[in-house]
Amino acid sequence: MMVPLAQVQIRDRSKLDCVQQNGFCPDWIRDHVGDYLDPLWRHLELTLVSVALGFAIAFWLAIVAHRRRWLTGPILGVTGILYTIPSLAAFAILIPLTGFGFVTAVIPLTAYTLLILFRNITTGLRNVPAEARDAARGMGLTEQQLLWKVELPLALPEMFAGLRVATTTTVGLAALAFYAGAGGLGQQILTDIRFKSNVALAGALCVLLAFALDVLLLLAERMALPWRRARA
Amino acid sequence: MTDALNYLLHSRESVGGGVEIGGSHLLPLLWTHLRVTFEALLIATALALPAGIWLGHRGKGQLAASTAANVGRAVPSFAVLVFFSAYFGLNVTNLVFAMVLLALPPIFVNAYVGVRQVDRDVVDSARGMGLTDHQLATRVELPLALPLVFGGIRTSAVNVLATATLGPYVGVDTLGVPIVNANVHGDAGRLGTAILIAVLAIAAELLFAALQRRVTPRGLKLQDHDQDHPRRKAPMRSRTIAATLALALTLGLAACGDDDDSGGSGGSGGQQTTATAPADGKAIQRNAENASKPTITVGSKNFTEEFILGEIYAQALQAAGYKVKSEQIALKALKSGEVDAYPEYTGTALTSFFKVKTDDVPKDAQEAYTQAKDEFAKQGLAALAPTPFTDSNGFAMTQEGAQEAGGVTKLSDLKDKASSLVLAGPPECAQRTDCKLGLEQVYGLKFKKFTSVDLAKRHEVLKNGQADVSLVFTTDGQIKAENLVLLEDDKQLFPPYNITFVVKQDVLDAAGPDFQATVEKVQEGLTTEVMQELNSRVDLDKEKPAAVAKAYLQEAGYLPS
Repeated sequence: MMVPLAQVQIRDRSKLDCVQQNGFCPDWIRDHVGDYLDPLWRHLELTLVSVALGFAIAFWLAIVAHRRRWLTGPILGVTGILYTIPSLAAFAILIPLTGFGFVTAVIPLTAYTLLILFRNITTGLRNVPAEARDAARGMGLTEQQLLWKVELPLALPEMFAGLRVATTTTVGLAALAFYAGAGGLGQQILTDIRFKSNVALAGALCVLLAFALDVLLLLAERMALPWRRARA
Repeated sequence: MTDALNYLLHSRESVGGGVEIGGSHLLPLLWTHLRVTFEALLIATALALPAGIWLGHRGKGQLAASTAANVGRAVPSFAVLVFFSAYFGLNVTNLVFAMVLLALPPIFVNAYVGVRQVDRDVVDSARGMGLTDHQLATRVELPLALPLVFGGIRTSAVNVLATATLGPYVGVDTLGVPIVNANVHGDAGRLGTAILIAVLAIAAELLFAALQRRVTPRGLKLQDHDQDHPRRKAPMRSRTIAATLALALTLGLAACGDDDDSGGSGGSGGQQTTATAPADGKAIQRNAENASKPTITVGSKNFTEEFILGEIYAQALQAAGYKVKSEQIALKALKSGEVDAYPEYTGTALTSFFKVKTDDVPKDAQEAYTQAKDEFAKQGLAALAPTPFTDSNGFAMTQEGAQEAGGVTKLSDLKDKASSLVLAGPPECAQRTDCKLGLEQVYGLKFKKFTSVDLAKRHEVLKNGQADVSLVFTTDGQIKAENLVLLEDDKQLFPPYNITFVVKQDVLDAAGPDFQATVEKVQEGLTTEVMQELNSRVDLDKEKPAAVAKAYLQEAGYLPS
């Protein structure tokens, strides 16, 4: 004779609530925002590392092209091609080489920032007024000092503009990093692709992240360029 | 690499067998991809171009332009696509609609900026010469704005082409299929198609770049010849950020629709019935010796029931004192050593791995298990005793759908009706005898169309009408919850599908007798009804598989509460 010692509770599902209907449920969202913090953090990591790396490379390339103007065209060409390759395809091409993980995601994300950043840094440097250059040379600055003390600071507005574009773009692209096995908010979307609350929340966090970073960069620009504070 | 190129040029059999892929089979995918891209681009241009040019001509709408630029960049295309498919359903029209939205910002912004940045002196002299407003817009501003306008179209074209790769995630078969379904198309398929897409994107870019150069008036070309780079973007103003935030939030919170948002998660209150566990449901005893045995890695396949089962076994073994790690991979990983054990279905093992013909598969659950066990043993794998529940493949229709088809209740009822019905299933369904292939062979059903969808969407496709018949699992909670008609397998096509925990023989030997005892004890409570309940807790109540597994172990008395 079987004596039931323990029982698994079968719940009543005759009426389905918001969550069970895969709807948009503010209460559920409020209760579960905490679950999204890890993917959000990961998404932020992917973005920051890619943009920082991209900036470092683009900066170096811009300095090199500043000295040897003829390199600008080829560099634009190469970074342009890198920019054109769709991210999913780029991940798929890298997976056999670097496996699944953070690195596989960062490489294409970094490559996508190069065109924007290189173009903006170069434009910034080229747009330094001739008078400023003359004045600096007149004061006796060497070429090196000219670059670091005059040209680059004057190119900062353009560089910041490029950084802002690159950052917001990268946040959007990092949503696909899940394909490379790197997690992020896109991975979160994939865990329940038909649950409206999940999709809406993850997507909204993505957009909010982009704007938060954009605002931060704007503030950084304001602080770095005191002479522009007079303008709106 | 060579294999990847070979995939592009010649067709071959898919990874699991039964379906031809690659080579000329890519052509329909390519066609859909290009078609969708072209349509989205055309519509977006038709909408954004006149708007951008007119506003640029007027000098109004700086705010709109900057907002469009910011929002367009920040919103991830993947999220937009999934958002659309979650709210409006999976079909090509929705994909094109979503892609139009993604394509609008660059075209609009570039058209606007293109017209705004036309040299004011030129505009003044044109007015001075007596040109009307309309003539000014079409004969002066537009030609001078063309390079930037084309730049915007070029950017959108490449973006849309790239986004179309995501089509399979929302049920549209574009070139993204071999990339998203690499388990069917193989590594060669994934790499080959990725290269193809990259080449396509670069070709589109070069094409539009050439077009852009063609439409650039000679005057502008001469002006630009010593500058290597295109013009600056329009400057962004800080107050547009606030506006854009507001816009973005509105977009996100829009379409609350008529969803009932009455409160919290979890099932609604009371326990209507309870499933009883056998009297043997004593708590698992921790054995200190087991901690010194090697760590056991437990794997699971990529769907809810497997997540839950993997967690149940892992947590149970942990409670018995073993060191356990959880992973999410399957037979390939078991063989290659990435996992030590995972739950497999007897029916799947027989039909997919051991290639037993459908007719030869035993219909009795115990016999099927014994046969699977013997086959696994030949490969050095031990298949432990089967679970009480069986989770069979099944095919379901909505109530309305079944009525429309003439009140069908059995699979054989579909004999003459299948040619007007659409079948949905996972990609490998086409090649499995316990899926579409079996339906054709045993029931003689030839469906109008087969839509391959992700397993996760097997119920959604029925709900939104994308398919009439869909593959489901008999322990899915949605069947009861959504009142679906589960078509009876009257010709007994499907083999039994009990779960057997498959573990490497040497790992089993090293772990000692507690391993098998714990596993077989803890699965005794898994009746069909209980499994259905556990699945519902994850799929409907949105609880996490690990938590559901723990609750099961506690409620059934294997772990202390």
